[in-house]
Amino acid sequence: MKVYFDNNASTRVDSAVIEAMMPYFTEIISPPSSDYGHSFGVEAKEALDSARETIAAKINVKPSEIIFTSGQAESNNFAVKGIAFANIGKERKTFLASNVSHSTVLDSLSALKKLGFIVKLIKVDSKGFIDRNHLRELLSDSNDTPLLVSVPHGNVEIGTVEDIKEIAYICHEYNVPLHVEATYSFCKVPFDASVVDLATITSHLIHGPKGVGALYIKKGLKIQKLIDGGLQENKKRGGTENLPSIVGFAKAVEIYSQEINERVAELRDYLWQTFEKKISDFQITGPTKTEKRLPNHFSVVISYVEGESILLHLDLLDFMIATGSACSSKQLKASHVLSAIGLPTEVSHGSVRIGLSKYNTKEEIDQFIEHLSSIIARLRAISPMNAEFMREWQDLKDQGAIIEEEHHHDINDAEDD
Amino acid sequence: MKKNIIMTLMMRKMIKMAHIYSEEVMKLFMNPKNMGEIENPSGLGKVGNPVCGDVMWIYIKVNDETDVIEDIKVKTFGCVAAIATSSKTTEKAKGKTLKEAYKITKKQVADDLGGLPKQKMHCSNLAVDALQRAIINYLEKNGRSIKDLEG
Repeated sequence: MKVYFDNNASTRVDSAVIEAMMPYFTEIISPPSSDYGHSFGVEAKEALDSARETIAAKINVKPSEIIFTSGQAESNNFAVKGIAFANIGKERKTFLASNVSHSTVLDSLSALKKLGFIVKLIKVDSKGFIDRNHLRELLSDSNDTPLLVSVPHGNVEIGTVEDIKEIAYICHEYNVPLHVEATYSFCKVPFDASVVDLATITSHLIHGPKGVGALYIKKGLKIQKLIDGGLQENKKRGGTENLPSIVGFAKAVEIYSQEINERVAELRDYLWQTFEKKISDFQITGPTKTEKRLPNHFSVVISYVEGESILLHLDLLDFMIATGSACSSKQLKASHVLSAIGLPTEVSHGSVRIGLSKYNTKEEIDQFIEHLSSIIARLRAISPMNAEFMREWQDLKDQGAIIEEEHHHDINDAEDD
Repeated sequence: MKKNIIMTLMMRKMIKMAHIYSEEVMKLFMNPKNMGEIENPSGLGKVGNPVCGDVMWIYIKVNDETDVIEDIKVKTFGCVAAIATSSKTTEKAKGKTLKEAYKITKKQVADDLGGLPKQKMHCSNLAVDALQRAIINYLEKNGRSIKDLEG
């Protein structure tokens, strides 16, 4: 029996969702936008409209403001690049983004930099919340009014849930539109998207299918479409709509109730308490107050052990979780989120995070903690690091004896001289 | 009986993970050899840096007459590759003379492990470095120099 605790990476599709999708593979097969007038096309159009209404209602916006996409990456690319391309040749060139933004936002911005746009990152505090003063400071530069601000609603790595109303209020004071990356909070935390200008949501984190999501675009906001060649999606995204997945997405939204959130939050709290009882020497990453966190999210750094080693031991026991350790990333770089909240790299190696879902149980959590504590004991037993080691290390650092440089492993270093 | 089945399942799984790590790396990761420390070691080599995510301390016990490494232990903080390479390096060095052990290369360690992912190759450097430092530490303590091992 596999135990899946990585539900902020993706989730199991609910069988009711699959059932709702099935007719759109084999029976209602016309594209919804077909204007040939046959009944399949009409039925498809009705299904598309109804899905759009369900999703729009969930975030309190108009159905015409919802554009279906292939998911988070496309929505974030669309939001950021669409605003940039609509403003080419104009005076305003600057984008502001939280420095704990998702990589699909940050990488889109990096691509824009090469085209001459300017990107400034907004600082966050040690819990991952936007530094309001820094945001105001960046917004108030009258010579350089930004084109867009982008912030995450729920943070995938440290669970932080930002107060979007407050951020929107600040941005709008300066007449700058706000994009909210709501992938991880969607359906889990109440979200009124009507107070913002762009919002990214996706299906596969709420037991819907992968490869489908949406971008909310406030009526009247000037944005350039990225996919040309068709009048679909209110003329904002060309291509035949992915109807089976869109129907599945809407079904997933429909059945993701508040009751599920409460049940999952209870499990998370149980995990948190059991963890604190059974495991020593760790530090919670992100908010310690549960009401400021995603309801299914738990994240820590465990001292004197390394994340990839923990993950692999757990995987061999059929438990799946996630880490932000540099050693488990292909670039061998610590997670940008953990660095942004001021966690030293030597500490972030022991990062693990858990995303629970309605399919998890207390029994799984009990087993998990049991396995985890014995894995940690095993790894600590062979580790030269301990409290004393870290104290000495800190002393050396304080004395300036340690030169902090961007660590770089030469991948060609394998050959002997 | 039940234990055997579990072991077989685990082995099968390890083979599945082989697209990341070789079977040998996974075996040593699960059951690392020579882990621990030696009290009053003849030589100690400390390498690595917690910022990089690998720290290795290698302890050796050397026969002063024969120069043979009679015992070797290692303490490792790090990823799967770091644990496997420190295990493999100590296995290779045990029972060898200082001269022989000093010649162990990071390539030999990586090859004996059935290869390492490119971005993890530095782990094998680290283990060999730790071994060499332990040897140098022993020589220095005994008023000898690394030149003694040359030629």
